[in-house]
Amino acid sequence: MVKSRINSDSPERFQSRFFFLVLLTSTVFFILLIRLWYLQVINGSYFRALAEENRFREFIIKSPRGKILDRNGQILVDSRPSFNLYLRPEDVPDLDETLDTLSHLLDIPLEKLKEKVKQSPSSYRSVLLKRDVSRDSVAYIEEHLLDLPGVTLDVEALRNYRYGSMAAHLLGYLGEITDRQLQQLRNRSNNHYFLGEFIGQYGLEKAYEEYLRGIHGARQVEVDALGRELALVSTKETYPGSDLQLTLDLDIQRLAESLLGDRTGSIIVMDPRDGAILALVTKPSYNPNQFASGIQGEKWLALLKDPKKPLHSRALQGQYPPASVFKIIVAAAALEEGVITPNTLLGCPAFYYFGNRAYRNWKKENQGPQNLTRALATSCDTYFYQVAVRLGVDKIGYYAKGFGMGKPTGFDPMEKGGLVPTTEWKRRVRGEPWYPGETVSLGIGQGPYLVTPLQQAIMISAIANGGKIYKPYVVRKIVTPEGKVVYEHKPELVSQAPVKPETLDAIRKGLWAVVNESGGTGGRARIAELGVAGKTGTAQVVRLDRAGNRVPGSNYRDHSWFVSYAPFNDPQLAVVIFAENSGVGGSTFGPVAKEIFLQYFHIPKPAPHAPPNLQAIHTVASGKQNGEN
Amino acid sequence: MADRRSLGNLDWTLLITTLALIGAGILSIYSASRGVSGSLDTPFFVKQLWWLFFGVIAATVVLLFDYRTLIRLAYPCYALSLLGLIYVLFLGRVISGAQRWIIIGPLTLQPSEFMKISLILTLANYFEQHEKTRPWNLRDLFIPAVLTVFPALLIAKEPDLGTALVILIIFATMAFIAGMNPKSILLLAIVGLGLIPLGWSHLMDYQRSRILTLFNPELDPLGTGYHLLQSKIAVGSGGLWGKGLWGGTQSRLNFLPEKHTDFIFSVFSENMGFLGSSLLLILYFIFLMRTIDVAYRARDSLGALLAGGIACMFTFSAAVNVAMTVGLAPVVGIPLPLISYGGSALLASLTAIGLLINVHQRRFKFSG
Repeated sequence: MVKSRINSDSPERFQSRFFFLVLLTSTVFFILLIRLWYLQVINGSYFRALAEENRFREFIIKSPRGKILDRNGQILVDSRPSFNLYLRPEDVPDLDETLDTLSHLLDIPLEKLKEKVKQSPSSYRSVLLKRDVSRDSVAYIEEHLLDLPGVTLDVEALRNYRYGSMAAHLLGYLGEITDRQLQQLRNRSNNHYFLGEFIGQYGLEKAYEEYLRGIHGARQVEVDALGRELALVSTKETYPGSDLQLTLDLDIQRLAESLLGDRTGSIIVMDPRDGAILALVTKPSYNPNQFASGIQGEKWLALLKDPKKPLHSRALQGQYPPASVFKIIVAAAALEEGVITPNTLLGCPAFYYFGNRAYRNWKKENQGPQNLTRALATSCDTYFYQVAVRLGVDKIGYYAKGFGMGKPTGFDPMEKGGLVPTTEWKRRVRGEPWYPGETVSLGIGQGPYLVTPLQQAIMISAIANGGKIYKPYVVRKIVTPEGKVVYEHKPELVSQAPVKPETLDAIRKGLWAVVNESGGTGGRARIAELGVAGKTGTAQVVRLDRAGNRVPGSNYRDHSWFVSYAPFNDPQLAVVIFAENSGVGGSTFGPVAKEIFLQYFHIPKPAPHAPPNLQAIHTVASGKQNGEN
Repeated sequence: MADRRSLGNLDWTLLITTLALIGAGILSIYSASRGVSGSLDTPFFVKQLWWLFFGVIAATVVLLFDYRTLIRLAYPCYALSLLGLIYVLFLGRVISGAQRWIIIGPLTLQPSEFMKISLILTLANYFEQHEKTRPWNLRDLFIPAVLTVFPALLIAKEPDLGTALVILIIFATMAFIAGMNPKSILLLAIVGLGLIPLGWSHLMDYQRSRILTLFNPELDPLGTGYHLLQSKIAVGSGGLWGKGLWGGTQSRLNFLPEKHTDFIFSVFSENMGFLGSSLLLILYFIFLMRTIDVAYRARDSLGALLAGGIACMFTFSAAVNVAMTVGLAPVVGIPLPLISYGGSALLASLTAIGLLINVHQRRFKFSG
């Protein structure tokens, strides 16, 4: 065997060159091996996660949102099925023709539809062409589904505010989740909050989001690179949201809405016995249904820019001078501080002079000496100027705060607290002492005082219920779909007004006289069968700068108040009516309160021309009156 | 002419690694195309098996004749391949935006694959014929350069930049083995590097973007970056142990592009994990070392040139392909020899291995 190599032809130089090739190849393959180690062993779990991300897609199944019901179980807010139209380009044989048909049917420009289809990442992925397709279009499409391959209708629950703009500020609305909310909610719960979903953004929808929402379900599917669903991996069932049972009374609310009409303002109907809200009207309002499927930019801008500020919840956030309604507080302070007794007679001249200034009564004639009842009934300004001067700003302020003014009632985090001026307040804010001359007009609720309609409702309720300041509420119960009560409201006593029962009696007598005695400013609220007590207020409106000084030359139309409760002997309902820049006196709204009381107490309306039954009034009021002066 | 003692001298390592690599390839092709349902008449792995059969026949035929005899066929082969390339340029079948294929009955042929072998034969023949005692310089390289650049341009125009690149590398390596002056190599490299930006700046915008898209084997809207990333995810997610023979989700769900051709290594790595992929890499390395060894031990410079060219073809293609799948090289579209799906490539590779064994068998000179 010849085994020796005979390489005479093969020059030496070949061999060193092959050595170079071996070295090069070894180096490259060593690097590749290290790289494999790096990818597969060191970063294996990272890439495995990426592969899983590729492979699985999760589709969230939205849980049905809870309903909002009135006190009698009438549905105020629920959800309705809406149809969204999708197109899966892969299944469409003639895209242009189909899009043309849909363009006519949906009344969307062809170009817009083409644009939407073009933006789809894959022709296997369905593209949303239109949300909430009209019923007619749905009917047509369902009938012609065979002629429209690739077109599908998908049902989605849309929030349905059954009475449109009614109580819109209270009920609130849904809106697309913001990036910040998404981040916060994702951290806080595992309830599948997802980008683009609609959650409560205002009012009860926002405050009770966690109850109304329920728990979203999910469907995890395996998809391929084109987004085709290949297999269902897992499902998680949805759990519907709970229902809110309100104290709101649909009939009263609707009546109050219609009574306020086109005026700007608010009506609050409250049960003075525990602070339950039966009606909460703010006007002007807006229709939350237009938020349900995402409000279009222009519409939202129009709402924001509307000079009447329809998004402003006046009942809770509007701060206004209390005007003559404030005489109730001044009277309480005066009686408690011993400045007057119920029988003290004070003059009611056309003018009251203090310093170098004359302060006028709203009536031009001298009304002669009056007791408290009469002074409240006729709303005598000069009477209360004198009382205010005897009390001073701080004592009035103490009782104003005692009746819930100057701080929010606690009903809603968004509400405002109003303003109760004191000497300390003036020194702090304006850096000036309180001048005695400023005290005079406090007696009639002018000056820096500001209250919200809700605070007035709390105040008048306290007068009616013996001085109890309740926290207002509107959600009575929260009930799960199985009927389990997960929340039930208990009356929440915030404080007790610092007044004796006799004081309240004297004031109530005056408020009775306002409505029921001749010369009373609230006579138009009189109901013979019931016994209504109330107080009118008319605020002269001037613009104040930030420090509370009048801006010269600014003149607006008057605001008007009417606060009331009934029945006189057993108060069950308090009604506050406020109209912004109405230009009329508070007495104008007596009939509005009357209508609400009639409806609530189921009293048939008297024939329009029947004379009032004065005898009945006197029977109810017997023993409660002192003689008129 | 057939050497009876051949069997005893057979390079078993080369043979076994070759068959192991082809086996791993067919397994991966089967795994990659398993999910693809019905529309294809014949599954890829069955086609590949047929090509394996033809390839073994071709290798056996090549083995029967001394390579010194076979070298006479160099120019006819070269001419035939060139004709094929010219035919493809005008009448070829377009697949995935590239015009590379000739359809003959049930067969789909890719002339560029055969050109690689033809060129190796031609260059080996030329270098041996003009063997010099002094080192080769640039002037001596003019004719082989023309022989190389002409088919390279035709292939680049298909477009198939990857194969064109392989052709150029084969030329460079064979010139190097033939004994090119190191100074000339350096000069060539510098001139080549210098020409790239110069040529680039003379191109029109649309030409530039066209060349850029050559790097992108698919006209995929998400681009080359997507391919690279998905391949890295496939390889990496295999982890240490792999997902099992049919368990690769990246390939099964089509996240991996070109999975049975250019990215077959990713499929294998995803299924078999680091244990499998490193084993395959080492196996490949042993195979390549054997090819270089054949060249090293060749009895004459013709054998050394032939085996060297073939070794270079395999080594460069394999290194670039694996580097691409693990995200270390741009996506140039070079398949992994012996493993990627592709009939012409397998046939050509097996013919080349036939030649290697031929050179190996006849490394001893017998007088008489």
